[in-house]
Amino acid sequence: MASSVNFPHFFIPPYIIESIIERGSPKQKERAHKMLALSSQIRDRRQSRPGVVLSGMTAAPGQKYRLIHDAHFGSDLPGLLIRSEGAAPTGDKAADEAYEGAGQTYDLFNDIFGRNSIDGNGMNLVSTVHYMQGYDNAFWDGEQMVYGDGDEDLPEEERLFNRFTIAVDVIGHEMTHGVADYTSRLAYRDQSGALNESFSDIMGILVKQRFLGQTAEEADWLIGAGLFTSLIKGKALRSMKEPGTAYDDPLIGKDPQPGHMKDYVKTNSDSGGVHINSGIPNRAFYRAAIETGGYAWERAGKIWYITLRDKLTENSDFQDAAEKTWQTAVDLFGKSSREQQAVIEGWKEVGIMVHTGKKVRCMDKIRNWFRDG
Amino acid sequence: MKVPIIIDFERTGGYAGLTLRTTVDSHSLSADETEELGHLLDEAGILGRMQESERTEPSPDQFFYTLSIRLGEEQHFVRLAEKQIPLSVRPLLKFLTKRSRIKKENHNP
Repeated sequence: MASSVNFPHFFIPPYIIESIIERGSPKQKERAHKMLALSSQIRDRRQSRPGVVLSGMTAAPGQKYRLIHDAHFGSDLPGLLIRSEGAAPTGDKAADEAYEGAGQTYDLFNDIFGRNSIDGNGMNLVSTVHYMQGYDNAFWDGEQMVYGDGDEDLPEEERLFNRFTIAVDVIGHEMTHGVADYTSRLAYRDQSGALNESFSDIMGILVKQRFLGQTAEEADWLIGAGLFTSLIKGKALRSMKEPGTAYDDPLIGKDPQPGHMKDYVKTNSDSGGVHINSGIPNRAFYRAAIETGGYAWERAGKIWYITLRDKLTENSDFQDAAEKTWQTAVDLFGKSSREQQAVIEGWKEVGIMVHTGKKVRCMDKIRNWFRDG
Repeated sequence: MKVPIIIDFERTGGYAGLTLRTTVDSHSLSADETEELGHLLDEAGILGRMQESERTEPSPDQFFYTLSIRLGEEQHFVRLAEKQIPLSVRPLLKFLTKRSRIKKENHNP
């Protein structure tokens, strides 16, 4: 992705053009539409240029380097740089939350898991806030984190969402999509996509729990707490402890997440229900963390991170994740450890049986018996 | 554009995983709004190349937009992944998103 610096002719930001289309006179609108068509051509040309990399600098091991940008309610990324590493707070809530949250997420990965940034090689942590108008979302675009301000453009009595930087687990979630991009590359569809979502929720919740100094027992296990305004009857967007109970509201309906394989939702929507079925592996992690006790990032978190980094592949499904997290627990803590048993219990709770070596050996014996007569 | 316009609009995906949908019917729009919608459709330039974005590999937490557009007797269908939306289509999606957000009953899980 290149910045607009490479194209000095494109100096009117799209958000201004869009604003003119919305509010200008017929003549102004006509002119703005022409400019939009032109900028679209420029953008297409820009996207076709290979090898243009966003913020190619990397930080030294253990040294995070954060860059926060402001999109000014437009869609041009990364936008205007407003805070870089070590600079004083800007006073802009979203910008400062994005900065702090990126730092807390970096620290979890670096201090606990020994990972130097998203790519493992000190990649700059680039974020953009104030993305578009009325943008109820946050995402990782393959190179950076992007955050909308929720329903800031609606009258207060109509707003359902607050700004997306308000919950630190959202920031941890988006950065973890980046980590998945550089490790397992879990495909974003069906069960592998739900796993991708689940790992992001898990690392996001660990960032939050570590920041609050909470043990697994003390934590609320709520994803996106604070994102809903008081108009919505709900605690958060998702509950890892009790999927399906985060909200129940006449306006937006009931939290659709299942917490067990028997309730797995088959759908073509949302890339095969990746934000719905993630409730199943989320709950498996929660149960494993409760079984191991203490701070969730110290044991369960480490098992899940190493599995994501070393063992899962693009098409891994829930069963594969169950087997691989168990193998990682055995590698890290031993075959008779409490931790490997916690992983087995966690997955069993959601209807997935881990096939340990013992069971495999039994199956082998049966197969051999049939084969050898 | 003088023919009646009916658009069934749906937005799925996103971090929250909530679906947003609405139907915009030019019969229930003011003359100015109908003209604006027609202009936005023309500007978007999506009517002639409907299937192009259907097989796009999704990106984490980004939106998917589905539009079923009836222009008089003609019917068109398009599915757009957020990361590949041309700048020229954004104003149309903004128009439709805004209308679906303002009507609270258009939020459905």
